[in-house]
Amino acid sequence: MNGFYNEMLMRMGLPADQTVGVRITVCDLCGVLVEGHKGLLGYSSEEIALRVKKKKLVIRGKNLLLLEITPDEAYIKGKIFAFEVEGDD
Amino acid sequence: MIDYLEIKTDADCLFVVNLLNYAGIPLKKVRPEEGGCRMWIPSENGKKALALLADNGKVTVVCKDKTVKKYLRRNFFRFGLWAGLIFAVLFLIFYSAKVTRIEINGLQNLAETDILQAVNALYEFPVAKKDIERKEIVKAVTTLDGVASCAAEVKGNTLIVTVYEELEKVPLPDKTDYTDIVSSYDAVVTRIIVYSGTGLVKKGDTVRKGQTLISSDVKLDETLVAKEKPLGDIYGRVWITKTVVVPETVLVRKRTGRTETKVSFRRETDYEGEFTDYDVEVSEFFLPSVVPLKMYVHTYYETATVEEERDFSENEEAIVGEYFAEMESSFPAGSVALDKWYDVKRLDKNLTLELYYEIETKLNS
Repeated sequence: MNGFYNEMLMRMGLPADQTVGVRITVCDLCGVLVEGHKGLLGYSSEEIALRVKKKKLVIRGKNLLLLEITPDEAYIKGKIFAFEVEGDD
Repeated sequence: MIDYLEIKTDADCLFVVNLLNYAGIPLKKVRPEEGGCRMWIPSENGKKALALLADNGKVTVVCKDKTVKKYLRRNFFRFGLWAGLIFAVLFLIFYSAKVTRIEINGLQNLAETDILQAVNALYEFPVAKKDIERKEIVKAVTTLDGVASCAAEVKGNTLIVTVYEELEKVPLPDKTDYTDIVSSYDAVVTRIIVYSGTGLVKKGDTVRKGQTLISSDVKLDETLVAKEKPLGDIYGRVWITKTVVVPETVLVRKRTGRTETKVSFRRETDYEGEFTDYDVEVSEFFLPSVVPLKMYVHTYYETATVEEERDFSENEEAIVGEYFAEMESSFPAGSVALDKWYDVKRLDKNLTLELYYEIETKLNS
């Protein structure tokens, strides 16, 4: 329903609903803010994995540090190399 | 970080983060370590987090306690710190309650010192804000010469006094002066504008110098005549003539041919030669050296004033132009030149120029 709703807003040229779904904001490739996560799945200085919806968001980089994590936001600092979303469609 | 606890636990990082997050506890600077992890928790959630971890059988150690309570307990006996804090707070309270500066705005012709003197006579600064009476300041400043009105307000620690100066007094015409307006020239009237009084001439009339143009008498009816200050502008065509005797010779400053040269580092130098009257020309050049030095060559040409014969016929236009220019410089402001011509008369050896100039000018200047 949320996906259909956001798709509808996008086709009408309106901004997508900001309260549902996942939002990933990258700051200068040295910080990432992930909003809407559901938990931590993996943590190391090269890789941090978060559960988003029914998928796994993997952030790869160097010297990664989980600077702040709240029940629905996570801010990761470090050199970011790649993002990957794993899981079934 | 203020009001945070740093804890270290022997549990897996993922387990601890998810456990505390699901309980609504935010975490900062989560770092996995050997055999556990370390993180910062807000002090308000500290007890809850420690209890949760203890319930799950995890050993937790508080590494750093940066809560406000702990800070106060630790520094309770630091009297210097408290004294400094109290002093700073009291200073701020008392300083903010006082006016320490005066700012004067709006002055153009008056001196700032006069205004400051008037204000300082009322209060000795710094003065408490509650003691400042704005009405008194306005009254004191307005009594000064040249001040039309004034405004005073306190902003922060500054007393801002805005002064509005008196405008220049415009001289009013003396309406009791009933002198008639008379013509300053012999002329033919071209325009007449009467503001008050009675106009006695019209366009096309010929007037003589001294003739009344606008009278102060105003006829109210057949027998009644009132007096009014005459005001108006009358313009007319005026012919100005001038007779000049053109000399056959003229004094001219000429170079004799003798020169002197002087080289110096300075552009401006004093002349110390034998010429009493001279012209000077300065040229510059650079010395061919490692460092390019600028040098000046001063060339002095001796001059002398000689009498030369002037051929009028060859220079007629220039000579006549000079005299006409002289006449134009003496015309009243606002005059319009209409026409000019001249006659040349030769008598014996003398040459006489009769110059005529027609202008339109104000007759009652």
